[in-house]
Amino acid sequence: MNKRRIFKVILGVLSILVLILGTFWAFLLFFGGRILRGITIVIEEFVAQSSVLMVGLCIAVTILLLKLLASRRVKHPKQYYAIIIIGLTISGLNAVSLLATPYTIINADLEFEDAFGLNWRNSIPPNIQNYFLPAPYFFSSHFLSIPEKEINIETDVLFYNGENISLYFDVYMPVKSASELPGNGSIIINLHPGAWMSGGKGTWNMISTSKYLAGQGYVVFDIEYGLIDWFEYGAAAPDTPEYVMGNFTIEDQIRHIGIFTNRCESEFAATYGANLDSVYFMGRSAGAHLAGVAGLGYNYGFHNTTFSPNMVVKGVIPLYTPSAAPEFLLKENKSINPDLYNAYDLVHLADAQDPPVLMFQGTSDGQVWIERVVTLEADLESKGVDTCLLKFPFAGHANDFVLSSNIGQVWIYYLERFLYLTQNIS
Amino acid sequence: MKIGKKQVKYLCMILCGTNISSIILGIIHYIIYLNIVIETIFSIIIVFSWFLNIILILFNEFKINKSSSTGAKINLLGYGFIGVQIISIFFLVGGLFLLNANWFSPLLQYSLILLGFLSFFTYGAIFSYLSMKALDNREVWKFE
Repeated sequence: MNKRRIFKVILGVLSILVLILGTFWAFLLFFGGRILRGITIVIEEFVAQSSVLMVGLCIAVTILLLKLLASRRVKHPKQYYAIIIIGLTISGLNAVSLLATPYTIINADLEFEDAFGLNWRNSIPPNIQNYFLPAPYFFSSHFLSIPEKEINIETDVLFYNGENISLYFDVYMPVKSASELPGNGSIIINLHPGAWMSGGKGTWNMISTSKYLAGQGYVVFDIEYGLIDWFEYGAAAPDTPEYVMGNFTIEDQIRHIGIFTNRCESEFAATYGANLDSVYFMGRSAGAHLAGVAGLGYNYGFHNTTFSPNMVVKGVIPLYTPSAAPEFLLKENKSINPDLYNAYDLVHLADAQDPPVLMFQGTSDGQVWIERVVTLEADLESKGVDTCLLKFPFAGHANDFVLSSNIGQVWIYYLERFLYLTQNIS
Repeated sequence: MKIGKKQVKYLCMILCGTNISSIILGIIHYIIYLNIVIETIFSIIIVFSWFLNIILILFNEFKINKSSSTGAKINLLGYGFIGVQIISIFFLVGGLFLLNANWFSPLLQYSLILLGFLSFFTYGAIFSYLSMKALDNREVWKFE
């Protein structure tokens, strides 16, 4: 075999490997990590967000294979056309997430109509809409990202030192006067994912989203909380700082968030020009559960002394949220102390006085199953809480990582409108 | 429909236009904040341009006489275009995912995105121009 032929064989093998990867990608799009478990629940986090680019990759290698096997078009036409069919089928399967975008938008509109009335769009004045994404999805932004607005960032600000841990936050603020922007200095307390035992602020708590919201006039506090060092989880988040690990339970984590709210009231709100009359708790995965406990439990007797009494919670934004704490992560289990368990169960905490809730959920999430989140939404609504569940077909866990993907853009489009609409609800 | 020299010429001319438009609109995307009309047109042009680029690669594959030296060069450029497309995708994926990473500078993140995006359309514009330029060379094409 001459060098050229060897090179062609290598290219052919690599192309086939890409098509096999494309098939695996498509499988995870449809089923997430629920079936195979193991490492697939981590890989799933990247699949839907990169599936459009996988379409491009599969089509490119299909054309490459067609060029490499051009001579077979006459001699073995069946083989040649089989490659076209296989390549296009795999590409098509990877395109389902993109093709489902109109459904996502229709579903989100219906959720908003239920929560804010049929004319909810008219409640947003044109001068405010000018700051928002003009459409739920632009194919161009998918590749070039959403242009960033000028913001200020301050990182690693200490807010708690004790129990052998140190807790810091990063804060994202608008450069322009917040009062001229839709956010009006509203506070967003952003809680990171990581199964209550891993993760941290920054990279894995979606910096892009924090930056985007700061550009809209929100003051986003991306905060740390003490992490449970005696619990192990298969899909632990990376970049966990050692200085936050301790012999904690979920009660301690909520207490740490409470400490932050008190410091925010006494000091940080004034320092960063934040508005205590409009506060949101946003979180992802385990952070979503904590955001739910803080946001829905703010007016709940059990947590009476935990949080600052001088903040007004306007909304809760849990993304891919578990509905309750695993019993073993509390100091006592449900049978011994049901009141304790209930104080960390989102449905039990909910009441008609609670602020609206906006939830994000991928239908192929292998860690937090869609069925459970749909039930949670129904339960919250039955308790009188206005709840919007944004369902993203074929999306997995943590699929808001790429802000400009078809998932990220739709999410941001409705998130910024939810934040504005709920600011004025008393 | 029989595809002749005239049709390929039109295809190449349209491709030159759409590829160059994509490059210009890609730069405008960062200068003017998202405008619904511009972004909608831009989105359509990207899809259109991408499909036509693929059609041109495939068309060249079937209609080029690879035994002629210019034909062999255009065929090689077709391989190069697929290579550029694959590399662009990796650059775009890398850039878009790294936008969240606080261990990379924004300059690197946006460089990856722009390099990925612009290299594809720049190569596309050059490829369509060279294909069009070679149209008058009878040895290169198998139209009849």
